[in-house]
Amino acid sequence: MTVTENASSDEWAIPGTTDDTFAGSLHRPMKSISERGTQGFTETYSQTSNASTDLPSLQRAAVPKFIRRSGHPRPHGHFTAHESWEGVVEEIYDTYFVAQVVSDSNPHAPECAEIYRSEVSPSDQELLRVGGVFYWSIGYIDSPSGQRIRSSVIRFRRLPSLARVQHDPWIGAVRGVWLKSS
Amino acid sequence: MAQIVLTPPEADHIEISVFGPGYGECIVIHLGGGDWLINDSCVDSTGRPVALSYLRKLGVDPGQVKLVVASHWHDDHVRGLSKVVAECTDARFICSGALGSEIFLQLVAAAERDPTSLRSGASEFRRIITMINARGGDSFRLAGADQLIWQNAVTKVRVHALSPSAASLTASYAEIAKLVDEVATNRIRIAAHSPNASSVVVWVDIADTRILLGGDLENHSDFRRGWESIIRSDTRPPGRAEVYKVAHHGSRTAHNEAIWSGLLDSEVASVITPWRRGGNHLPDPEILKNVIDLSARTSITAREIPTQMKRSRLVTEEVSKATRSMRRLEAGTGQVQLRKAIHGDCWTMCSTSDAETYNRPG
Repeated sequence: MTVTENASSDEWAIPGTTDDTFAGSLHRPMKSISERGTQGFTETYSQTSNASTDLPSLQRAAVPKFIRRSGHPRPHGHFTAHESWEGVVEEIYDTYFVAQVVSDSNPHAPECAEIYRSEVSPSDQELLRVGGVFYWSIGYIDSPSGQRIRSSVIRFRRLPSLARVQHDPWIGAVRGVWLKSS
Repeated sequence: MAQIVLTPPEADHIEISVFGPGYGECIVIHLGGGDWLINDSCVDSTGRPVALSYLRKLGVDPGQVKLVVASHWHDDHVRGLSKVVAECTDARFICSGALGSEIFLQLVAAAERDPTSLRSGASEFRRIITMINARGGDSFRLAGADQLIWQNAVTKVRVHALSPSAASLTASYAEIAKLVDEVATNRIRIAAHSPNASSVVVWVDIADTRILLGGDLENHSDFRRGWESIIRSDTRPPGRAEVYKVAHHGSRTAHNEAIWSGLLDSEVASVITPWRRGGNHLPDPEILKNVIDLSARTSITAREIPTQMKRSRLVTEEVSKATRSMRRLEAGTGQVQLRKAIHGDCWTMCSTSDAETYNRPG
């Protein structure tokens, strides 16, 4: 997120500033991989509970967290993503990390990006580790006050722990043939 | 250098095509008599495995592929490999014995539960294992050191695995178990981070013409693992190879001069597939110089040509602010093709325009 805005009617600020009374996030509705189009998309986002962004079924959170200040009406943000990527961290250095990223608009052309660590929000820094999966969107945020803000937003995935798969039926089906040659 | 020949080789000719666009590698070999071998897989810009695209260009039916080898399960060696296995219905599938464990099946099963669209080696293997299971146990083998993995008595072709050694197999089971724990506790995508000591090295002998495919095997402090285990083996097949696919993209950790003194012909042609992502680019410049000095001819399948995707001005500007660099992983074809008559002495070498070739100095 590159800009902080304080508008007159609906005031917004980055989390951790002042008199925050409600922490929420704006995110676009979940779309499965197969449902995503090949072009950029435009969607309107609405306030939801914060916890829902951590579920694996809501993988594509694409805009930063905002804080609604007390006494103001519920927000209506509008984010237009021009391009979105899914990425996985492969190497981490002092000021940047290396990731393999795949664009929504060209899923067969993976890219290697060296992304500045400062692009990752403080709340997501602990998730920045080798193997970490993130979602990166570049586009516009049209603020409630009518301002248009260029935005590059990275959100890391918060997966529930993948427990060992002891009784997967697939393992039972293939075990006989696969392990026979051991 | 001459351009790639796109007519199929004669039945009594050997062809070795090494693909390495900068990320990933694949080797396609005509073993003679219309039999083909595919070692590892990478994909082109459309996501199709380069091996299948190339065989189609030559007019070769994938049914003529008799052997598909996965040297190890790192992403850059198995991209598109499940499609290769699916289309090469008559091929035997070979992979490292390190993967023949219950714990590896658990890892692969966990990959299916990861909803990311970023494909990993584990998810490729899940599709492969499912296909292998449907075809029956005779269609695959788990490879270990000095094992004969395929032969054709008529054309006098014998293909051996030179690794992984027994010590590497034992160690790799523990490494995979550790990886399962790491994935479960750290919420990361399943990816292989372990050293390449359990990679399959392939030795092809076609009527006394020998080829060494080094996979990603590296050296190890334990002489029973890595390259030392092959160099010291007294049960590996005899002879010296005329063509060597350099191990692990020409890295310092995989370089061992005893490979040249013990396994390779003095006039060997060495082919390197580069690795260009992140901070560590391969081949290592010092190792490249060594390989050029040790080999009669050395080729790198693709020069370093940074390529960027075309994007709108807004996205380009924001990408520029957020990153130090960003470029495509698979930018070109990166192919080196060698051919010769099975009983001939002279190799013909062709390559795509993005390859580089060096002759031994002096």
